[in-house]
Amino acid sequence: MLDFLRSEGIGEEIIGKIESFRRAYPLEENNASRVPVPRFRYYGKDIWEKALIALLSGENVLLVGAKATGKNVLAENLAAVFNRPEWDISFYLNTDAASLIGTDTFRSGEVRFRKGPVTQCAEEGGFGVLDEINMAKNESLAVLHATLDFRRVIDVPGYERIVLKPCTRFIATMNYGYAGTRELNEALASRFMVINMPIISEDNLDKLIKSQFPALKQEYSAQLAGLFEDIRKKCENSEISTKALDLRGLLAAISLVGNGLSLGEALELGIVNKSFDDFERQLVSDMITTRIDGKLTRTELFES
Amino acid sequence: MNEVTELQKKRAVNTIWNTADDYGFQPDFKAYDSDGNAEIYLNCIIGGVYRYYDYPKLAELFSAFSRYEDDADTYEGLLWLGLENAVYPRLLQERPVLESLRRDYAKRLVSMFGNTAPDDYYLLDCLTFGHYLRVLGTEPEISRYDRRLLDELEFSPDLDTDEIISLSKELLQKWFQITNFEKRKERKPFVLFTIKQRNRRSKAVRLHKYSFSFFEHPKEFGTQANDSLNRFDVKTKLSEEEMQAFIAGKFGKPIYSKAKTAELERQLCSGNHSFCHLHFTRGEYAPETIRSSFEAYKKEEEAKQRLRNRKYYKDRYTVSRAAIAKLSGAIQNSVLLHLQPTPVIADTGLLCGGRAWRAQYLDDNRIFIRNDQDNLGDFCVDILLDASTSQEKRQDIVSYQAFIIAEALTRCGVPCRVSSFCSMSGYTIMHIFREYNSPHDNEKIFDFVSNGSNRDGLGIRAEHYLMNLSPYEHKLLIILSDVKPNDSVKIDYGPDRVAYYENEAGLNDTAIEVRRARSDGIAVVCVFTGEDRDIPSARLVYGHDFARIASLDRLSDTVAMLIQNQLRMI
Repeated sequence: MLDFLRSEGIGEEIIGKIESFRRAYPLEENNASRVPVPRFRYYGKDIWEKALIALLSGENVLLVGAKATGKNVLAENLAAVFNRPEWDISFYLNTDAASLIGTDTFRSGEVRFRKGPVTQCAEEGGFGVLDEINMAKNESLAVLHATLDFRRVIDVPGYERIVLKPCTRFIATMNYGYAGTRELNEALASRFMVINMPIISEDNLDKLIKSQFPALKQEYSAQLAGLFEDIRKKCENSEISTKALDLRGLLAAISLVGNGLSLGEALELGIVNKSFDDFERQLVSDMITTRIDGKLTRTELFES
Repeated sequence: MNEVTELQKKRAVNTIWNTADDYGFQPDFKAYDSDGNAEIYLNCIIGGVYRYYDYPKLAELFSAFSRYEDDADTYEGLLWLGLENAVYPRLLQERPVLESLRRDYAKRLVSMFGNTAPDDYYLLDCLTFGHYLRVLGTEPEISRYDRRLLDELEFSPDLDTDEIISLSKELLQKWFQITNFEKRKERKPFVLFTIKQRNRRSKAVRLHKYSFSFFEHPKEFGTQANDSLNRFDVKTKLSEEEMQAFIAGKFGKPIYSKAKTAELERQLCSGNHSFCHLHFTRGEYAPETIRSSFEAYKKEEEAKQRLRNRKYYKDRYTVSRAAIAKLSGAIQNSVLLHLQPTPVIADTGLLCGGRAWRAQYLDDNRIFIRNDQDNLGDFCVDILLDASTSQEKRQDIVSYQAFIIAEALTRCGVPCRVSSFCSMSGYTIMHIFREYNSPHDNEKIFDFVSNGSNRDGLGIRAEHYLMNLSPYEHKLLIILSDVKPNDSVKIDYGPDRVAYYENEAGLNDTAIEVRRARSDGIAVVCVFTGEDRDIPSARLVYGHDFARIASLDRLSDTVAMLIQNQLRMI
């Protein structure tokens, strides 16, 4: 990963600090399986630098961005760069203190405390990814205040006070657009360094597609990146919803072509059908028609 | 050719925007195939012209053609033929797929001509056939003159806008002796022609309307009648019964019987609203009692307005759908926030002492209580529209806004009622467009028309009364108003103390009614539809709970914010 950072243009000074961090907090064997091996890489030097410096300074990071901005990819990449175990904690409406910190449960005839993912992450010095943090109610997140600020503790009534390992970091992600999301209150937001994630640029998307599918011909990679850009602009202008703006769907569609579908069919599955509105599907199909010949198959799309 | 639907129009525009890489304009031209479907290739070309050339300059040239009534379409078609040739290679750099789209289009077009060149009397068809046959790699068998004209017409991609314009003028001058390129002031309305239609015509009629496919011309708007009517100000000499019949004829049959209405008036038309009357209706028209040509004229105008309301929505169909989806997402979010906790027995959570024995004796670990939040407390939303004449110029916008909100609420399964209020000759008319239990009636909101004046206080009081009858626990009232109360029935404060129902007196009365509703547990918010200068009035009446819709794009966000704020307090 460090070589990748160098290729992205990250300065040696930052990379040196990451190496010091890794030396200071060597990975315990029992946590090795939790260190992510990213399938996707995040492209974008500015964002990398901001996130790395924030984490090196001991801060927690909140990644804010629209759909397909690579929030989770970056979060996973960061855990891999620092070589720390990762806990993925998905937030939902009913997320409460018990599901984060832990709860009482009954084992072997006695009430015991079952640790939640935040507690485990804190004890192991891991990177906790608080995914879609704004899906949960702000009130139920108040329990994290002491964990996320300078106190760096978890205080469970009736149990011991747990102090976070120094290498523990939390990376939260949030998206303003989804139904079910809400504004993060100031108390919680103030405990994070907030990074606004830009939409992936056409060039970086081209790079990403190429990195995932090295055999894909350059002309098609550029057209698929262009198609994604076309869809994004249509979403930005409120002509369609963001359902079809699906980067995962685009990448999956390319892999479907690799396994035998035509490009048109694959994009229908990966992009067009993400929308359940006939007219919207028609508009997305039109955009595809003006970019790609749907009849293309594996042999034409990929280098032999 | 089939009729071009609104959806196909939106589809065409979207392809043009997509290729132009710009969503900030309304294209003058759109292209369709013979079935009335948006023609993707040509719309790409139109988008490309917007993208690579200075379109306003070209628009002037197009506009100048219209002074040659009979031949305008031919000249227009020829220019598009040239532009297609120029813009295609440039677009191809970005979108290689255009090569196959162009070939497919050319094949279709050539086959439509039966693979043989049309009679060169149909000049545009003839050149179009020739051009697209060349696209397919075959030199057409057309006359020497036509071939030369086609050669000159197929503009090079290296030309810029000015060069294309000057070349076009030169060409038209040389071949058609056109010299006057001054823009004409008026344009005729748009025309759609099909090849079949053209071919059916006799040669005696000028036939060369369009070259390839079917272009939708620009429409010239801005001619909307500005016949602002004076406020309907009846100096009534009618008996009470005649007046009721007049109101019923104008606004629709009453919902309640005479006895019930009298009881309601006793209850509601008191205090500041003494001497007022109420008329509740669903807009079902009683047998017409039109007594004058002016009334007939008004009826006709109202019918036209209803069509305009519907057109306003249809013209924004796609954007509206996105706005509705966005707003319903935001409302769902707020609703989720207010889910009520339901305790369930679980194997984790708060220890429930009464069940502890089960672990020991039944090996049942479910001795804890966990709170799941899935019980939606019931609530309803009423939307009340100010239907006074002061809204006259905004009728289409107000009905559009109300429709978007109602539709979003409907999608979320939130019971919603939509009504309007206005006053005339002492009557405050409450027109109910859609009831809580009629989710399919949102379309009726477009029946909204403005009329008479507005006694906001009584309107809100009447709505308050209706809401109190509803079975829901939590209630939200959204009022779309310009906050300019005005009614002919004065406020009677007592002997020698009367005030016109307007300005401060009207505002104060409205503010009191809003607060009464609030103290009764109804959350009241205002979507302000008036002018900037009336914002202080809105603030006086609604406090912080109003929002100005600066632009329709912001409607969903603003209304969502208002609703969220209110639900938070429920």
